[in-house]
Amino acid sequence: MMFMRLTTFFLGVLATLFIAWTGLVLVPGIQISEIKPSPQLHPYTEQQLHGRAIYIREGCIYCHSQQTRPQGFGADQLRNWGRASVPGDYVYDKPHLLGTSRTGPDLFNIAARQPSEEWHLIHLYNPRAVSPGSVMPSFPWLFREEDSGSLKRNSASEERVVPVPKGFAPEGKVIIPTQEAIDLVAYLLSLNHTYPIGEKAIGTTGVTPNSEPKDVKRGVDGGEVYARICVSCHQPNGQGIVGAFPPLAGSDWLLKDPETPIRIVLHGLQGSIEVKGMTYNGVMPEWGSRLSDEEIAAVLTHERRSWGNSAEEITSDMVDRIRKETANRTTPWTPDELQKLRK
Amino acid sequence: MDFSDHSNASTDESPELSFRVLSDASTSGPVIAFFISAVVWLLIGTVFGLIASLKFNFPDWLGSYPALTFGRVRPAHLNTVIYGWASMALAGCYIWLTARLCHTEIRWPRLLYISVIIWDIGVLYGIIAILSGHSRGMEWLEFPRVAEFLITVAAVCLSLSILRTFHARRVKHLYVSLWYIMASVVWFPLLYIIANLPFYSGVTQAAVNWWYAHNLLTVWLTPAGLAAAYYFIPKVIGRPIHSYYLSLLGFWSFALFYNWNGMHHLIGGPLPTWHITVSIVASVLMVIPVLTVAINHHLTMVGHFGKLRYSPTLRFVVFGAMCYTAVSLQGSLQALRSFNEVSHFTHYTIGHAHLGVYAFVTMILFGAIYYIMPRLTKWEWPYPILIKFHFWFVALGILLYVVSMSIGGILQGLYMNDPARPFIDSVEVTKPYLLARSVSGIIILIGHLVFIYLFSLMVLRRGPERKVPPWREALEVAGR
Repeated sequence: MMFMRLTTFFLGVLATLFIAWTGLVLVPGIQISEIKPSPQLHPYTEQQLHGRAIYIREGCIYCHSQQTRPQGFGADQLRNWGRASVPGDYVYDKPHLLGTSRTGPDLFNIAARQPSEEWHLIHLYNPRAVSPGSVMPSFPWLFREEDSGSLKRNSASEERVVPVPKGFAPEGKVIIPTQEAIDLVAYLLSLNHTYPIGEKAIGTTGVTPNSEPKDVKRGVDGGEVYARICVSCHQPNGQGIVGAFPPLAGSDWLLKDPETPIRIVLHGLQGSIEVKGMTYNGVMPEWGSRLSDEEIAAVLTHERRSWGNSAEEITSDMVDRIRKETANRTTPWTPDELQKLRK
Repeated sequence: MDFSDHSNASTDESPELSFRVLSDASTSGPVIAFFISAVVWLLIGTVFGLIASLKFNFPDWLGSYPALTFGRVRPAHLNTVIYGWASMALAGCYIWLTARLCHTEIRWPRLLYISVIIWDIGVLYGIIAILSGHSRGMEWLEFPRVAEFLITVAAVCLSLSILRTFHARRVKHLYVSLWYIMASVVWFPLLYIIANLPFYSGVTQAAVNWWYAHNLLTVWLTPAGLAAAYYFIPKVIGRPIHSYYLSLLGFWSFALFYNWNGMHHLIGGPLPTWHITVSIVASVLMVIPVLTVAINHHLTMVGHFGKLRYSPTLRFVVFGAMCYTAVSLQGSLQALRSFNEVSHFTHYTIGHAHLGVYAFVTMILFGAIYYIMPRLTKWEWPYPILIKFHFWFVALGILLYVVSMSIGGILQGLYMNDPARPFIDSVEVTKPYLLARSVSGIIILIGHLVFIYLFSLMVLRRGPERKVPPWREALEVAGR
């Protein structure tokens, strides 16, 4: 009469849940717990942890993932978002922030891609100031507005003024980041997992690559590289952002000789430079480890021939030669070094 | 296998009348309390959802209020509708169905009142915490520890009362709805407690997170939808469910496979390959329970589709049951790596989630409330035309929602996977679809306002008095 014994029923109900927990949580948990973190992965500092708490508080996770997909699965590798992430990359993460949405780009290696603190501060104050078309919220409560006049009296905060482009900050006001904004950016700038990992640490990517990257032998389009990498700071019109990111249109650094821009792209640039009468004191990241000679040549040629620029082509042979000459270099150039090399 | 005593749409002359009066009288207080709370959370949750959606269209709208930033309103929306609306509405259904199907009055009703109060406090505390910036940062588990503890206590109270009633049943035969309910009230508190254990971190925590989030559907929302569909479809059309054996196969394959689905949320992520593959296999195997249930319900309905016009309950429940089939097959497809490569990380997933939690579960809960309320308040629904408005607004609204999110999401995924396109293209391409989503949100909100108006009249026993239920009116007309 009865369809089953009640004891059997409830035991079955309990078993289905606990067996699934064992299979999906316990066993992989044990397997993963044996993985050691890479020695190049550092625990978060207190400041970074505070920034991480703000990342959680403001719900960044609902639009940004922190996991990079392997070769042949999606375009992460082709977009230079960094090697596929592995469990060892996350040993210091609690709570985990893997995320399941990419309304905005993945942030697992945002510090390698976009190491400029100014850029992040402007972007947090109003994303559309540096990234037109963005639907990201602004976070004005992470900043203070002060009258530009009152600022002179307080020289300590003067260094911290966010170079918000005209039209994005109220007239006559300057934007000062709060400690929260600074800490959040410190956290974002800790997100760099581009260090190499041993063969043993891999084998857990969740996907078996089923194809080679689709465009290995495709001709490189400099405009495409520019749109992928350079545009967030130097902007679609090559004008940069006044006071924050130098323009490329009409810039001596780009146009005067072919070698200087190659050096800057290969190894980055740090220090105070003057471009078209304005002083910029920011950080240009290195791209030598992430872009091929062909890509660097293509993007520099694109830049040297757009927005009214017209300078001679840069070939991949030229990039190759300078790459070999500077193979031992590990730090960004300083403006002085580049000036001397020009002579 | 005797189903007749449960599934006949019997009239007042039935010998069952006495236990029904007893059972309904005992559940009326707690069930109405759960329903009122649920409906209030539904309204709040809908408004949160609409605000979150409009943020995509107008990113700087309400941009200076930290509590209303997208990253806080979105989890507030999810948690309100899941733990407030859906959970409390289904708790009301569980209570009512258990008493009815066990042919007895509900036991330990005071525990249920305690449950409602603690549940409401827990959700309220959790929502305020999220809006004021105290989320725990994991999807579906954002509530801080205090709120989680309160909800656990409330859920345990609910389960105890239901299990105690089940123990005191006056029937030998256990109808299929009862299997789902009994499994559900055992599973949910256990799952919630296991997921909130403090010793997970790193990617293991991600595994627990998504095992939990998907299993919340397995053990809580889906059983409620299915228990109600299994009860109301035969009840309203007046014939037994098509096959007992299909029900049995459906239940156990459901329990076996559904619990293993969670890792398909992490395809391509930093987890062992076998780990994710297991979930993909289980997700595809879900075809078995889903088609079993679909065939069973369909064969029960065959020849009775005309009744959809007269019974609001049937209309909502059948719509929901069909969407269950659709969302489940879609889920199996989405778990395949080749499809997931495009759909993962996009708005497509959001559309899928709403097809499940709204078009399936919420619609069935509406249908259940339309059936249950008159039996508890002894008052017929006023203004049948407004019930029609409610149905068509929310049905068309959710259809527009799912279609726009699905198309927009696939385009987003294709653009994202094309390295020749700058990333911002994958944002730009979704904008018209996100606008359509906001429009659908407004349509759904209007539908909800109509429903809430009707529901308030029911609770207050206001509106034009209708002496007899609609089906009796129909019979009388036919008899003349």
